[in-house]
Amino acid sequence: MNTNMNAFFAARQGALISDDRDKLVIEVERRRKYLLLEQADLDRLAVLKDLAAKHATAHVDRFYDHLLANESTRAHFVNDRHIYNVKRTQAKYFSELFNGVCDVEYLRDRYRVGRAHERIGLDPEWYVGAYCIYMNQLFPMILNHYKDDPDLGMATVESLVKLICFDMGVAIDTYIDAMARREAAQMESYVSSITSFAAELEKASSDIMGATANQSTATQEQATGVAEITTTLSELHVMSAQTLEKAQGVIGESDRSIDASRTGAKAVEDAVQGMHEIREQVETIAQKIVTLSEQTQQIGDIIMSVNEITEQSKLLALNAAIEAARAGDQGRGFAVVAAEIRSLADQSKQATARVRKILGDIQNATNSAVIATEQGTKKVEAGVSLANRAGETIDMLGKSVEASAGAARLIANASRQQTSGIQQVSDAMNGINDATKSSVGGMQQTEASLKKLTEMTVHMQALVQQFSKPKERVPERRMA
Amino acid sequence: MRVFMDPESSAEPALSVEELDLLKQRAARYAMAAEAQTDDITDAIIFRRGTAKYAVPLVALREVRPLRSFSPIPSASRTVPGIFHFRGEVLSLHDVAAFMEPAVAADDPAWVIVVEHGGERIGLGADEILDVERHASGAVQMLPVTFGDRGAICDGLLPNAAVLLSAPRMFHTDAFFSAF
Repeated sequence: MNTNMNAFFAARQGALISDDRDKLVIEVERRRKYLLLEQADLDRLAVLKDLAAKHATAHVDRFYDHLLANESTRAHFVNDRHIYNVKRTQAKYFSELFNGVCDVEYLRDRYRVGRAHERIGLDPEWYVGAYCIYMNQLFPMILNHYKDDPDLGMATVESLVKLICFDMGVAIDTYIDAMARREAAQMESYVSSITSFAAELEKASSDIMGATANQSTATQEQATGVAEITTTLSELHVMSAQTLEKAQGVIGESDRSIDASRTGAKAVEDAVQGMHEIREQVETIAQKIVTLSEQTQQIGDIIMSVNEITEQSKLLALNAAIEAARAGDQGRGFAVVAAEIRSLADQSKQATARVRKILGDIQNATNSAVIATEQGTKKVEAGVSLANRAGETIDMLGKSVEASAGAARLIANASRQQTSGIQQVSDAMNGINDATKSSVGGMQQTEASLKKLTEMTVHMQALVQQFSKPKERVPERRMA
Repeated sequence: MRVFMDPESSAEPALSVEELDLLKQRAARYAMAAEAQTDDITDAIIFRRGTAKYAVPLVALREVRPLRSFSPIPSASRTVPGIFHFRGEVLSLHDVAAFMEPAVAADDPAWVIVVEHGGERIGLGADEILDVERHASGAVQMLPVTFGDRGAICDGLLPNAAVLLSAPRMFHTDAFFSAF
């Protein structure tokens, strides 16, 4: 925008103060052509150069008397010296109207004078007024000078008017240019400030938008997190209820297990008592079997005695048979008796052998029974030991079950407290959820407002852009 | 077990079936002994010494008793290892196994069989008294020639493979009495 304005004013100003002499020549020709200011006009004025110079000081004095009489214009002058210098410059300025020249240097001189007036604050009113007073003095003087040739006098007046209008046009354009530059400078500063403000506002809006977007995202994430936590709390509530139910079930099972362990301990005590009775009976049986074994051993001893008797009987029968044989026919009957006795001895020996064998079997069986009873006794003792251990184990199991029941009661109480706590947390989370939803609504409203603010900023920037563009003069109506 | 009661003497118990069977068997043996008297039957004692069985007729025996101790004869042959007391009399103890099987060693005998012939008596050592058996003279078999001079004290072989010793032959065989 500033670049456009500077370029615009530089273009307008360049026509008057350009260093390009060709452009200045074209400008001078353009202005002279528009005012129909011909060289003949300048020549007619040059004819009056001496006359103008003669009355120049008087005209300037009269003009300054008028200025100094005015309060507002007198304030522009510091002292008499200042007034003197200005008067001399003014006289020179007016005298140049009659030099017969209106070229580039003339244009530059008029422009420089206009810039000086504008710089010290003399309005175009003063400039036009000065010319008015000057023309009111010159025109009668010219007409009077050419009173013999009124047409020439009128033509000279017309030429003077053209040149004065040339000067006024340059002076007014100089004022306009200066005013335009001031306005441009102010506008540039204003536009720069507004542009900077708009940029800062846009950046701030963008930052707020970003922050709001982040906050909105965070709020939405928070809402999602709250929803997940609420869901998790619901599941946790259900799990806590299930835990409470399980704990109560464990308590019931533990109570039943305690009863069962007590029953089992009583059964083990009965079993131990039964084992003791069995051991006593087995020991009695073992003692009886040992006694029986000893009696069997005594029977064996008796059998040995019987066997020896049998052997002796057999020997006696044998010797009896010998005696009977030696007795001849007289001993024949005795030989039969001896043979029968020997046969009985053999049968007795065989019987005793069978009895011995049976006794051996009985002794073996007795020994096996003794061993079996000893093993049974040991088994019973082992059974008693196992039963005692089982009783101890059942007792420990009962204590452990009681401990488990106590733990289950603690778990149940903890589950109740947990359920209550979860409910409180769930209520709090619902409150947070409502607050989050409200915050999300606020964020959305803030985002909408920020979008609108951004649009307004963009619109303002567009307006500034449009406002900062050079304004071309467009006539309301073109002349027909 | 069935028990038969005597109808006229009810105070004493009747015999059992086994006892009646035993009496029947005994009666049968008595009948066989009566029939055998018509033949040349000889009762002989059967004993074992070493690895063989021997037999001696009962009529040639004086007594059979356990040999509780005997007195060994220093440097005597194994056929007559020692002497022993028999009813106040000192008898020579003869080992028929040492005579029949000189190469086979045997333990001291556990029994002594006193054989009598012609008023003379000797003792035969035995490890075990097996039985008293009755045999007919026709059942005695001749000794194999492989016995050689050792068969001088024998009458033959019995059906149960026992060597039948002869008391007269033993008393008349010098080698059987040779102690040195």
